[in-house]
Amino acid sequence: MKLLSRNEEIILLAVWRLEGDAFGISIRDQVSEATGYQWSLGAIYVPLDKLTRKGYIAKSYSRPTARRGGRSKVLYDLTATGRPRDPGLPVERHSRARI
Amino acid sequence: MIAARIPPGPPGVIRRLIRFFLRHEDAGGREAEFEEIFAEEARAQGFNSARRAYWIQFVLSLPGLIMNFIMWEAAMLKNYLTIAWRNILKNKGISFINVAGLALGIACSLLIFLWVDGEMSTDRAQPKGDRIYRLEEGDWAELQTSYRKVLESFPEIEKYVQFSSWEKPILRVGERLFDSMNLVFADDTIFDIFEFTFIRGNPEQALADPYSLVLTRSEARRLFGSEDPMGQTVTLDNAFPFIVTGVVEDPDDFHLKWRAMGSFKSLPVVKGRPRFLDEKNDNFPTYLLLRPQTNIAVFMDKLAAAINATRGSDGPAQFRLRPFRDIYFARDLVRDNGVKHGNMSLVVLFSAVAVLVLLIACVNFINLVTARSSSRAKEISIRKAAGAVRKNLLVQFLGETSLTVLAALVLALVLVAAFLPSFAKLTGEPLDADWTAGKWIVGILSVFLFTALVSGLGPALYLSSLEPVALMKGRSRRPVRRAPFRTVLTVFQFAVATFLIIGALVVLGQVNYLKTRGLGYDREQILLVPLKGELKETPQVLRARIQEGKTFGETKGVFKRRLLQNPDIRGVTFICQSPGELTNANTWNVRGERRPMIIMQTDPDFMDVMGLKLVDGRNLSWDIRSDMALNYLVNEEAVPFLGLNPLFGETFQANFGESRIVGIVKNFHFQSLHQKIEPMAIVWFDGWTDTAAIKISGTNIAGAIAHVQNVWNEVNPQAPFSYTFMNETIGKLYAAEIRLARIINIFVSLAVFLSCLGLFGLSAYIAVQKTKEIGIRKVLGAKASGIVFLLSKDFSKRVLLANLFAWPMAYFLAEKWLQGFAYRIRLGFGPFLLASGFALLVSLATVSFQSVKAATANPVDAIRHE
Repeated sequence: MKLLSRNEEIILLAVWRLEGDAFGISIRDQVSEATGYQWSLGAIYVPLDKLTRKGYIAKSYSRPTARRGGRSKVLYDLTATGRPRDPGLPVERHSRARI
Repeated sequence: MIAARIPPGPPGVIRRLIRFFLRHEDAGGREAEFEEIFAEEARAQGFNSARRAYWIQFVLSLPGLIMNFIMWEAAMLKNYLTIAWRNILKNKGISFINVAGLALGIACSLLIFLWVDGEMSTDRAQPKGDRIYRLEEGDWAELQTSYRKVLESFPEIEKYVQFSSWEKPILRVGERLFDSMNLVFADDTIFDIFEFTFIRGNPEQALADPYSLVLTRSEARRLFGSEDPMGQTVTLDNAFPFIVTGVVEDPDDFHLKWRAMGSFKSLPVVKGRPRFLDEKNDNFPTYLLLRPQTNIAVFMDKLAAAINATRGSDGPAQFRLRPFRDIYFARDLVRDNGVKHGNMSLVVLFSAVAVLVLLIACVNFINLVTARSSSRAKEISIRKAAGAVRKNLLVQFLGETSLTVLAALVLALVLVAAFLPSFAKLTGEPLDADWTAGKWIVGILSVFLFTALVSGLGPALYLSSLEPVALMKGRSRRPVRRAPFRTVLTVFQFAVATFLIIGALVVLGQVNYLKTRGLGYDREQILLVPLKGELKETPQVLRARIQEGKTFGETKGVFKRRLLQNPDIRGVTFICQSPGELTNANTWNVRGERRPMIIMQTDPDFMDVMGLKLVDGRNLSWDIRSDMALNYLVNEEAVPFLGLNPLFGETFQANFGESRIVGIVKNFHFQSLHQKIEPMAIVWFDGWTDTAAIKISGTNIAGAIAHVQNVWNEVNPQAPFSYTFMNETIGKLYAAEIRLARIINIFVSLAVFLSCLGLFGLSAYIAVQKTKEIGIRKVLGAKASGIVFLLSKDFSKRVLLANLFAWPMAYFLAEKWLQGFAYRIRLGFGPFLLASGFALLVSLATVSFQSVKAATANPVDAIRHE
């Protein structure tokens, strides 16, 4: 098991909570709401990248949307190892009630 | 009108900044997320609010963005480093050539940087340097003591200092005798004007009293060893006790070479003339410290007028103020004794050579890297296909080069540390690498950047320009077969090497010529013994002698007679200066015209001892009373110069009254071969002589010297005996040229070695590239010699082409250098052909090392290659 920082935990939980609709803006809104203070986009990118590298979340790309100037959305979702069902993984040790 | 319909976007500056920091595979998507925040806010609150939100978002995100940036850059950097390291390991031989070649080049340029820095910083450290001027008269740097009164009357002069001319009294410490080395006398204002680091004593008091003496650290060690010199006595000429009042650090970067400095106030006593300072005594270098904001031109005119007003019958003279910091590189002075001079053209020459050697090393690097480009081709195309733009590749290759250069730099610093002492000896300068000094670090950094950029930029541009599609289609032979770029570089390299070889040959030829050219007199087996103590007729010695009832020159006579009792002593004559560096001059009045003449004061034995030939007339004779001081011999050059047929008894006014010429001497080189033979005269007047020239037999040199020393100890026990051989003294006239020759030899060897190193790597690589071709040729019946020829002919062509560029450059510069000599070798084809032949031979040998290996290999192995 890899150690997670507090920020990574929060982001990981947010991705889990958003159930497949996790992208930059939505994650930011989610964690801001849950923690009670405003997160910047920059602040969530670093934990997101680290979680991706540690293999707990994976990226997928949405179809390009006109609203985003023809660029695709980057969507994040939990991988098999990142799922709370999996015993012994970090998420399980935290109550969902915190979020 | 279309523009109006497009809703205003987020502020451009911020957008670009965000884009810069988003080093990420998803950079586009993330940028869009920033814009979405803008868009949402714009919809809800309007554009101004949106712009503000965008701003805030950027500022808040900044720490995260920077983290992100570093993370991704580090990841890429790690990849670059891995690849670079693998490349180094994969081609150990070539990597070694690269690192070793660059290290040699860098070490060489760093050493030269040290030397150049030493030259350039001479006199620069003096804090008041920009207000100090040396007052000069005509082309002499030395003035009369009688000008002191005038100098004192000028308010513009804050302080001034006069140095005595250089004298060589004997120093006695306790019972031990020493020859003085660079002893000067100076006003106590010297320490207000110039700054020296006092180890003992204090600058205000040190020279305030008569009979005080300041020593440099090394002189103190020479005289006193490990004893404390402060307050000790040093006796000058066995008569004047001087007390050591201070010790300073060796002033290595000061243009006056002084080792001991007595107070100026002692001079009237030492000279035995109480009114000495008011007399017209020549030969005193004079420095002025001017007040700030003095108008130099106006001040100079006033000063010259005031001094000329005191000159009376001597007539007005030309004066000038030379800024203190220009003295070291000044070349236009006839007389400035004791002043150490730099040579600006040598500084330029060496800097150029350093850059050239470094360039040769860089060229090796460039050639080897670009030659191997095809092996990097796949990597480049994959990087390009994966989205690397040219900038990424440039950064990668420059980084790789920097890594190699860094390794070379470390090695170079080790080399510098190892070779610094021997290089310092070679240059004759006390060089010292202060590893922590700012300029040394700046120097190292600039050499590093220069090397990295010069050797990195070319290959980086070349490699990053390769087309991925063409490269992916297979090993492109293009960069190897047609490489005008590399040809140009190799040609350049060999042009430089050949140029340096020619230069070295010319310098060697000229130095050899200087050493062996007939000077018109014998210089072998002649001892020069400086006269000191009793044998030197200083005013005190003369006075003492008169009191003892002896006459003028008596001790010298005894010395000479006793010397000649030994059959190994062939002849003895007393002279005023070494024949190789005669500069004493008088002015003659010939038919009312003033003629400057160089004079050798000596005795009638001079002609015999020196082996000079008489062209006409007779030699001076011991038996003719008027031959002393009044009758002259002149050289052939003087006859047309004086414009009279001297043997007809025409007279002229010289130093001692109405004089005539009794003989004409065949021209001989009484100065260094830099100078043309000038009109000169020989006179019998041994009162002013200060050196004995002793001709000894060639068969028993040691016995002859022992005899001279014994006689000296008998006649003159109060003075230390010392001698030199005249050919050595003459050799020293060309010390600069001999040193230049040695240094140039080293650089030339380096340049040739480096060029060959590069050629070796290049030919090795090409031999590998052509393995298959060679194998097939051999199978089809090619001979080994044919293969060697095939591989060597390209290189030979380049080396020959290089001559085209090297020859004119070398001819031009060598000719210019040789013009500095009045007597010089003629520049023939010899050195040029020799240098080109040598370059060709060495390069062929280098290439054949590889090509023979390739040509004699078993063709079966070759064809199975890959």
